[in-house]
Formats: sequence, C-alpha cells, structure tokens
Amino acid sequence: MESPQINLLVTGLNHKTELRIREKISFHPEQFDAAFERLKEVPEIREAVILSTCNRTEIYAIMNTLPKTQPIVSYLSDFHQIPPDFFLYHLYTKEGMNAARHLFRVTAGLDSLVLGENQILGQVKQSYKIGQTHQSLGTTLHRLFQRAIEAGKKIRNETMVGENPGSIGEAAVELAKQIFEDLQERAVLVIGAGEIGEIVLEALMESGVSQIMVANRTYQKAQELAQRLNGTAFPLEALAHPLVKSDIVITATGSSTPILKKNDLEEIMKQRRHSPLFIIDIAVPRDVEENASKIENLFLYNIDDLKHIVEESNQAFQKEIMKANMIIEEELQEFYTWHQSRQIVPTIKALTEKTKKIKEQELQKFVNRLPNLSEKEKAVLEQFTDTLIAKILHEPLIQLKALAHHPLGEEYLEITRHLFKLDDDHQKGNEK
Amino acid sequence: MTAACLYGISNFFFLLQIWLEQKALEKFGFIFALSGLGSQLLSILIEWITLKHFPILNIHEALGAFSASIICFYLAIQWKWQLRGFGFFSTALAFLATLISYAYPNAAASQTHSPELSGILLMIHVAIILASFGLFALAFSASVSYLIQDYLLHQKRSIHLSKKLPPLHLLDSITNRLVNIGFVLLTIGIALGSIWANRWWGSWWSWNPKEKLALFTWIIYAIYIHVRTLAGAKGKKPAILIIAGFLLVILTFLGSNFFPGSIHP
Repeated sequence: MESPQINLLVTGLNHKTELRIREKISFHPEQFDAAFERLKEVPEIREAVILSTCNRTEIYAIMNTLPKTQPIVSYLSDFHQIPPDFFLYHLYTKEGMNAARHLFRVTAGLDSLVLGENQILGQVKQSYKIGQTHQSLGTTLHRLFQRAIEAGKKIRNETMVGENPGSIGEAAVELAKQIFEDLQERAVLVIGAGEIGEIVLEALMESGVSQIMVANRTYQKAQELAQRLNGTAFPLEALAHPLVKSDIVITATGSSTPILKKNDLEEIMKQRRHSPLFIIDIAVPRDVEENASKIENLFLYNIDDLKHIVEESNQAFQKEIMKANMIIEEELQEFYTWHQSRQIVPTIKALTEKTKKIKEQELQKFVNRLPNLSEKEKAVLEQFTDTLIAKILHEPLIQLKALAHHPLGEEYLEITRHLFKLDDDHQKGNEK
Repeated sequence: MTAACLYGISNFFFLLQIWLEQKALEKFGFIFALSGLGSQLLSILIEWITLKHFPILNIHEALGAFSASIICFYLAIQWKWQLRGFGFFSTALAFLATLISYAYPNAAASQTHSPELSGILLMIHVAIILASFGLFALAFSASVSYLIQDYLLHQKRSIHLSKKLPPLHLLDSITNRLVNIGFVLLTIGIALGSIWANRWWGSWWSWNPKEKLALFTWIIYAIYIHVRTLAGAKGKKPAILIIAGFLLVILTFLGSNFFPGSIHP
C-alpha cells in the first residue's frame, strides 16, 4: 500500500522502554487541558490525539508540513521540561498508513505487554474522547480512531486474542478450572520453594484461590512464606494433613527421590473421600511417583506436561493473531479507500460531476419552458452553459491542482468539499 | 416427523459449534431445539383435544413425550449453567428418541377407550415417570461428558479439547442434582402406578417384566445416591452407575415388547 499522501504521524514509546523514561513523558489526566493548549500552539500540527497510559505515551498527529517528528519532540520536551536527548532515542515514529496500522494494532491489544489485553481498547476510546472535548481532531483523525475502535471491538468478538494462556501459570489455572470450575473456595498447598512454583501460585491466587498452605524442609522458611502469603506453615514431615485439606498441590522441592509415593497418595485420596486433587509437580527430578497419575480423581501434571499445554495454547494463539491481523488489514484498506476518496483527483471529479448534474437539470427545465427551440438553438444553449461552467471552475480547479504539494492542501480540500457540499451526495452514507 | 427433523438439525448445529467454536452456531442449535419442542407440545395438545386422551399411552407417543421432556429440562439447565458441548449430547438423545418412535406404530386411532386407560391417575403416573426419564437422560449426557473430560485431563495432551466440555466439578454436581430430582419423581411415579394397578388389576405389584425392570432402575439410582451422598464417592464410578442406570431406563421403556405376555403397555 503506497501511502505518501496521508500526513499522519505517530511518535511515542511503549512498554519496551524502561519506566524511568516512560514516566517522564507520560500525561496525567489533570494535565490534558494545558497539554492541548500547548499542542494547538505548534503550527506544524493540525490534528492530534494524545494516548497516554501507564505502558505507553503516543501522539497521533496530522501534520501541516510533511510528517516530521521534530515539532512533536520539542513539544514533549517543552511541556515536560526535559531535554530531548533524554527520550529521543527511545521514540519510535511511523508515518502514513504505517502509523494508521500502528494505531489499529495498539487498539487491538497486539502491541501490549499482555497480548490481546482488553484495557487498551477503553484507553484508546478515552483518549479519542479527550481529544474531542479539546477539539483537537479533524475529519481524518475522527475517521481513523473510529475505525480503529471498531476494528478493536471486532477483533475481540471474532478472535480469541484476549484469551491467551501463554504461560505456565496460566496453563495451571486453566487446568484447575477444568477440574474445579471455580477456584474461589479452593485451597492450595505449596511444597518447597522456587521461582516457577511462585509464578504458578501467583496465577492461582489471582484467580481467587483463597486458602494457602506452605510446607518446606526448613520449617522457618515455610513460616516466612506463609506469613508473607497470609497462609499456614507445615513441616515437610507432616504432609498428610495439608494434603487431605488442599485441592491443588504445587510441589517443587530439591529432593532427589520422590517425596509423594503412589501408596501414600492412595491413602490420602481415601481420607479425602476421593474428592479431586490436582498436583502440579514442577520439581526436577520429580517429586511425585509417575504412576500416581493412575489414581482416580488425581490429576498429576509435571513441568513437561505444562510446557506442552503452553505450547499448544501458543500455537492456537498464533492463529488468532493471524486472524486479528487480517481484520486489521481489511479495516485499514477501508480507511485508505475513504482517505483516497477525499484527495485532489476525487474532489475535482466530484466537483465537475456536481456542476454537470446541475447543468443537465437546469437545461432540461429551460427546454421544457421553451418547446419551440430548434435543435441548433438547443446545441448553442448547451455549448453556452458548458463554457460558462468551465470558465467559472477554471481558476478554482487550477488552484486545487496546485494544492497537491501545499502544506495546507488537505485543509483547502476540506473547505472545498464543505463549500460545495460534495460529501452529501455520495459520502455521507458510509461516513455515518 | 417435524420434531425429529428439527432435533436433528439442532444436533447438527451443536456438533458444528463444538468443532468450529462459533457462538452463532449455538444460537441456531437453541432455536431449532426450541422449535422442535414447540412442535411436539403442539401436536400433543392437538391429539389431546381431538382424541380426548392425553397421548402418552403407546410407545410411539411415550417416546415423543420423553424427547420433549429431555429438551425441556435441557433448555432449563442450559439457561442456568451454560454447559459447553451439552447441547450436542442432549439433542442427540432427543433426536434418537423421536427417530425410534417411528419404528413403533401409532395405534392411537384404533385404541379402545376402556375406562381403565383414560383415568387421570394413569396419566399422571405416565407423565411423572417420563419426566424422571428425561432427567435421567440428561444425567446420562452429563456423565458421558464427565468420562470424556476425565479421560482428556488424564491424557494431559490438550487443554483446547478439554475446554470444549464443562469442568468436572460442574458435571458431577449437575448429575447429582438431576438424579436426586429424577429419583423422587420415579418413586412417586411407581407408587402412583401401584395404586392404579391395585384399583384396576386388583394387586399392588404383579411382577410383570416392566415392573421388574422399573424396580431394578429404581435400585440402581438408589445405589448411586447412596454411594454419592452417603459414602462420598466421586468421579468415574458414580458416572458409570448413571450410564448403567440409563441403559436400564431404555430397557424398561422398550423392553416389555421383548417379553411376550406382558400386560403392561
């Protein structure tokens, strides 16, 4: 898609830039009045939207000049009173249709830290509204943001980019939900400690697991962790009780032999009256005897099983991303077509067509009123009207054509379309 | 025939929904199941008015009412719990029931209207038992889903497949509720039948094949309730009991035809 005609520019930074820099150029809600005030004083910027969340700060702008970052950089630097060098090298800049595509991707959540997350859609909507209240949007940005928000909604409805169990923790949560349905009242027992174990525990706690028990070889460590998580501590030697009481067990000890044997677990299951037990064994070497997975109502997953599930989810997720990208390209194409229709050639065409239509209507009326006109007279009359229209349009059309490279070109076109009501005839329908 | 077609189409949409995971397909499944139920209720009403008896006296009619009971309870359950994939199993059973009903002659026209077959007591007896059978059919669907889900989770290969079915805990608790209600209805139904038999046949219980099968059915669900509620057993074993129980239901339903000389329709 060639795209030099659209003077759209986005510049900013996202979660890939460190917080230290990100926080310096972000906008707080109460700053917006002042921010837009200053933004309007920048002569090169015609329309603008500020998108500022805790993970990104971006300025979308339609420029009067050729799209250049410099005015925006100095604006950011002036407004936040920090030297440009501080953030300049972290900024990314996209122009034309690439900038439009960027906004669509951001809105869809494809540029987020957590892919497909939902919050950003609301944040884009919010920024669009704030821009509106500060009257900083023109037709193009209006249209662009509307399309982006529509596409974002469509992607969330038609694809599953928002449901991405792409991590070990998420996989464990998904599995637990397939067993227990609701994790609210469930109890989890953590045996041993380790990074992955804590990630899994954290994911479970986010899903509402309420009761936490901790066991460790060193009882003091168990107590520390239990205190931090508001749980109960148990010594490693007295596992039977917590095993009976829990629904989910995460085990991650450094033991070289299995600490949970099949026979013991069978006994435990009897004491639990066979209510389901989900054991996540992330220890290497394994903490639970492998054949324990044959026990009824006991679901034993080791680290490789979880990795397999994560991989499966990721593959499915890649497909969803592809679907989302296809939707983006479709919507982008629509935006492009709309934008093209508002350029010089279509504007001139619409103008000449409009006058032609007026001419035909009026000529018909005239001829009806004078039924005795000869063919020759009619021809002369038509020639006359044609010449008249051509003369009237001559100068405006030359001026319009000359606007192609004028910095204010789009604005003039906008005015022309407005003065002659060109959008009413065939545009309004799909502009809504 | 209309209802069979509608249930068949509904079943097809639910199958597609499991495969393609498009919300719209599920909606179509519901619409067709609902219209199938509507057409059945309408035809029961018409027959009731024109033939002056509640049309559930021969096997053809009873199977129709049975499938209506399945769909009716299915829609109620789905309304409350939104079980994934459940529509497929439930409409499949209703579809089969309506199909099989065409293998039995609809003898309504030639039926003699003997006073014993037109009493209100008999009608309630049959209706309550058919309602309990509908609940058992759904408990059967849930138990089959349970076994598949249990298998998938033990396979450890795919969360994606597993998510096409409801969570284990939900299936287990829904089965339990369905069977509890179904069991109460079955007990009342059998008791009413017995009262009716005493009035018209002169004995409370005559050990005809259908009565024996009904008793076995009652016993197997009683065992389930005992095992599940009192002994606290969960998981595959109770699910297998439910499946066995439903096979007995089918035998009770259709079986009396295989035993010659039975007087119980």
